[in-house]
Amino acid sequence: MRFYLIDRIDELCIGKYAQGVKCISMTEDVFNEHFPGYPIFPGSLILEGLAQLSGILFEYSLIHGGHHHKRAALTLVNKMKYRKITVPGDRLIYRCETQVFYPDEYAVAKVSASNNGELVAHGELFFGFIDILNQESKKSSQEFMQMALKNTKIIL
Amino acid sequence: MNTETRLIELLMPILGIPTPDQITPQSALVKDLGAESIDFVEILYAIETELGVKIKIQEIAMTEYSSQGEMQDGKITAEIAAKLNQDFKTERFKEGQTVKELFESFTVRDLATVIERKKNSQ
Repeated sequence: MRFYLIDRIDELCIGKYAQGVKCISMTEDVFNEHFPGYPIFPGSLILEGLAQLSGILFEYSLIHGGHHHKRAALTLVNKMKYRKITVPGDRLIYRCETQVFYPDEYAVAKVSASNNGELVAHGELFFGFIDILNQESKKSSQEFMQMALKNTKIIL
Repeated sequence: MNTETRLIELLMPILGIPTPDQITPQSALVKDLGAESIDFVEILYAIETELGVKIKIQEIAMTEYSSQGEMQDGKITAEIAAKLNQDFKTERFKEGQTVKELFESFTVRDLATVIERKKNSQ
């Protein structure tokens, strides 16, 4: 399974925010079980998409700031709320905004998901930074970032 | 509201302590209240957002003190202990304590002292 839970990152403002899109498709495997006859996109996967978006923002900002490339790892989920259910056909706009960003310590992002202008989910995510210990891990991180940021507008 | 009282209010939900009488200024964050590394991230963020003071984890881990004087086999000297006692207005720091022991015995009052010191220097 390819665990990419964000389809496109439209805009990334280094150190400040990022915004992207996740399209919910009926073909997603998760709907086999969640739930039979009543497909609902799990809130945990919305959270993962928001975490992936935030992680890319922080990792890209680390590299651009001249710091060592480290993996941003989700360490704490604060006040995550799901206000509406998400179903196939929905097009979620994911947004993350930096609250604090300390490259040698931790970072915090306020995150939100909206569909058609309506707030679907929001919360606050904390990230720690992990040293990348081997070349394979570094390569996979770089590949993911390249793919995710292929058509992204980068704002300095 | 003084810093210690405000700090206790902030610590309660982070450490899962239901009532304020279960935290005293003498409570050690790690040894008595069970704080772990992830809790310190949340504590420092709450202090920054609610009290407007930025504290680095090194200031709680006391590494700045251990780097000032010559440690002996990873233990603080009498000189370092004296400086700690002076800065934190206590007599509990003793020659021979390890950095780990310092961190584990760091109290709510110690944290309030660090916060006050930072506020006054801003």
